[in-house]
Amino acid sequence: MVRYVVKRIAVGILTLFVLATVTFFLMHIIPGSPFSGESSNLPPSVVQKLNEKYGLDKTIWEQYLAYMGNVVRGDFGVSIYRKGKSISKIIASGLPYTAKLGLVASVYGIVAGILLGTIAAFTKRKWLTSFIIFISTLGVSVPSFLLGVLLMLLFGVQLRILPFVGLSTPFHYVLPTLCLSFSAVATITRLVKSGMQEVMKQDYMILAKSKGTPDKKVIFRHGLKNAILPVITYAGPMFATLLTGSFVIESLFSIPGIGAEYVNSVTNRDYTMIMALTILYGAMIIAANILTDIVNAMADPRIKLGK
Amino acid sequence: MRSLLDVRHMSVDFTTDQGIVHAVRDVSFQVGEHEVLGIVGESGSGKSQTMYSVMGLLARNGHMCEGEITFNGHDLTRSHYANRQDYRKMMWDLRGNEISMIFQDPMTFLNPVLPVGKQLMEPLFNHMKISRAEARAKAIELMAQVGIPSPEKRLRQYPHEFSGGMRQRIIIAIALACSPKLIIADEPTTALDVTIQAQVLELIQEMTQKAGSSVIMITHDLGMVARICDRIAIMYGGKIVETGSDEEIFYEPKHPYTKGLLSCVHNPEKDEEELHPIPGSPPDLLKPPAGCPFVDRCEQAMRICKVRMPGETEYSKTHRCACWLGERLRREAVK
Repeated sequence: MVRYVVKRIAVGILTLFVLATVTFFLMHIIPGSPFSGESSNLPPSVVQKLNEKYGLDKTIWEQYLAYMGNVVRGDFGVSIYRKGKSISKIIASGLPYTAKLGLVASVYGIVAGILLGTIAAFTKRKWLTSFIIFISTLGVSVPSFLLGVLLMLLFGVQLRILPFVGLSTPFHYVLPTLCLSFSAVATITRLVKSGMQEVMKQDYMILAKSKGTPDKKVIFRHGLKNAILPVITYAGPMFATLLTGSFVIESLFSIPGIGAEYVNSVTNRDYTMIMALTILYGAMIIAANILTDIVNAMADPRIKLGK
Repeated sequence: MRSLLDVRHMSVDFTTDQGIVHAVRDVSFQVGEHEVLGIVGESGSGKSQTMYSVMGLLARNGHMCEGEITFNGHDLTRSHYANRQDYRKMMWDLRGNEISMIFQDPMTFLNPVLPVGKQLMEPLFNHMKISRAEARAKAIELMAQVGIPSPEKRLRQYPHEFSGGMRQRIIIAIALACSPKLIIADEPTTALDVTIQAQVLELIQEMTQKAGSSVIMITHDLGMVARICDRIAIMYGGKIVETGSDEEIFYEPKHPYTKGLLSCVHNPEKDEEELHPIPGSPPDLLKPPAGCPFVDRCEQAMRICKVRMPGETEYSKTHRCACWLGERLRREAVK
C-alpha cells in the first residue's frame, strides 16, 4: 500500500515534469509575447528593456533551464503582467476562495447526488423519479454561465433573498456553490440511480432478504455500498476540477479566486502565471486520481493496490 | 405426519414485455416435519419460482395470483393481509429464522463488498438477542461445522477470497444459522464442480438432520434425489405432474414424463450403450396449452390430452399422477 502510493507519487512527479515542459514550449511557440497585444503601443526600446529584465531575450533553452531550476527550488517567479507581485502570493490569496467554494460544492454534489439518486431509484411516485431525472438532465446540459445568471436574477435581483457579490458571509456561498455543483449533482444522481437499480437485481440482495433482514436495511447495508462504487471513480476527478475553480462562476459572482486568474493569464501571455497554474492544476488532478484509487481499493475489497 | 408447509392451488404469474408468463399453475404440495421433499424438473418448469413464492421473494414483476400457503400455523398468503406491512413484518420474522433458503450460485449470492463473517452474523442479529462477541463465536462455530478451516481468520475475508465450494458452505451456514424448521435448497450443487457436489450434498444432509429441519430439495439431478429424498414431486410446464415416495417414483413411474426422465439417466446395472433423450422442447408458458403440458412430447398422447387438463389419479396414499392414461386405465378397471 505505502509502496504503491510512493510509486504513484513518483510517476505523478514525472508526469508533472513532462506537463511543465510541453506547456513551456507550447506557450513560447504561440505568436506574441507578454509585451505585445493590448500593450503593443510600447516603443521598441522599452519592449527590449522589458525583455532583458525578464530574461526573455535569452534563447528558449536557457529560459527553460532557468525556469525549471527555479521551480525545483519552489520559486515560481513573479507575474509579468502584474508588475512585481510574486506568483506564490497571488495563488496564496486566490486559492483559499476557490478551494472553499470547491469544497462546499463537492460536498453538495456527493450528498445531494446520493440522496436524489436513491430517492429516484426507490420512490413509488413515478412523477418524482421523472422530476429528478428531468432536473439532472438539465444539470448536465445547461451551461453554468446561463444557470448562474438565472439564479442571480431570480434569487438576487427579483426575490432579493440571497447575496451574489463576493464571499463575505455564509449566505454568499449559496448561489455560486449551487451553480458550481449543479452538473456534479446531476451526474452523481444518475450514477446512483442506475447503480441502485442494477444492484437491486443482484442475487445477493435476495440472499440478504432471505435472512429476514428488513427491506430498508437490505438496501442500505447491502445495496448502497455496491451502488456507489462507480460514484467514487467519478467523484475523484470531479473534486480536482471543483477545487481549481471555474472562470465563469468566479467572474460572474466577483470572487477573487484562481479560476479567473487562469484565463486572464493566458490572454495576457503572463508566462510565469500560466506555468504555475498549469502545474498546480496538473498536480491536483494527479493527486485526486491517486486518492480515487486508494478510496476505491478501500471500498471494494476485490481491488488490490499495486498489481 | 403433521404437515409443516402446506401449499394449495398456487399459481404465479410474471408480467413481461412479451406478455404474462404463467410460471406456476395450480400447484399443491405438503411437506411434513423432518421430511425431505425433492422437487425435480427441468429449467423453466417453475420449481424455483414456486419456492421463491413461498419465501415471498418473487421478483418485482411476479406475483402469486391464486392459492394459499400455510407454514407451521402461519398464514403466508400475501393476499390475505389487508395491511401489507403486517405480512412483511411476519416474513421478516420467519425468513432466516424458521424458513431459510440455500441458493444455487455461490458466486453471485454473497455480497462482494462485505466480509463473510458479517454476512454470516446477520441472521443471528436479526433473530436472536445476542451480543457482538456471542455472534462472532457462533459464526466461528458455524463455519467450523460446515467445514471451513481456520474460521477465525476466514471470518474477516471477503467472498472473492473463497472458492466456489467454500462459498456454498458459507451460504449453507447462513441458511442454518438459526436452525430453521424448513430449509429450501434451490439446486445447491448445480454450480459446483462434480467433485465438490457430493461433499456439499452430504453436508446439507448432515446439517439438516442435526437441526431436525425439513428440506425441500429443488434439483434436476435424479441421482441426488434418489439418495436423500423421502418423497418426490416431478414438475413440468409449471405443474406438478407426479408425486410419490422415492420408491414409487423410481420403480413405478406413472407419468410418461417421469418415465422419460428416468430413461435419460444412465443405469450402470443395465447394459445399455445409449441414453434416451425426450424429443421436443418444453411448452411456452406465455401461452400454456389448454391440456396436459407434456402433450407435444408425449409418445402416448391422446386426443383428450390436447384439450383438457388431466385430473389426478391416486395410486396410493402418497402416489398421485396427473395423466389421462392413468385415468383411462382406472375407468377400464372399474368397468
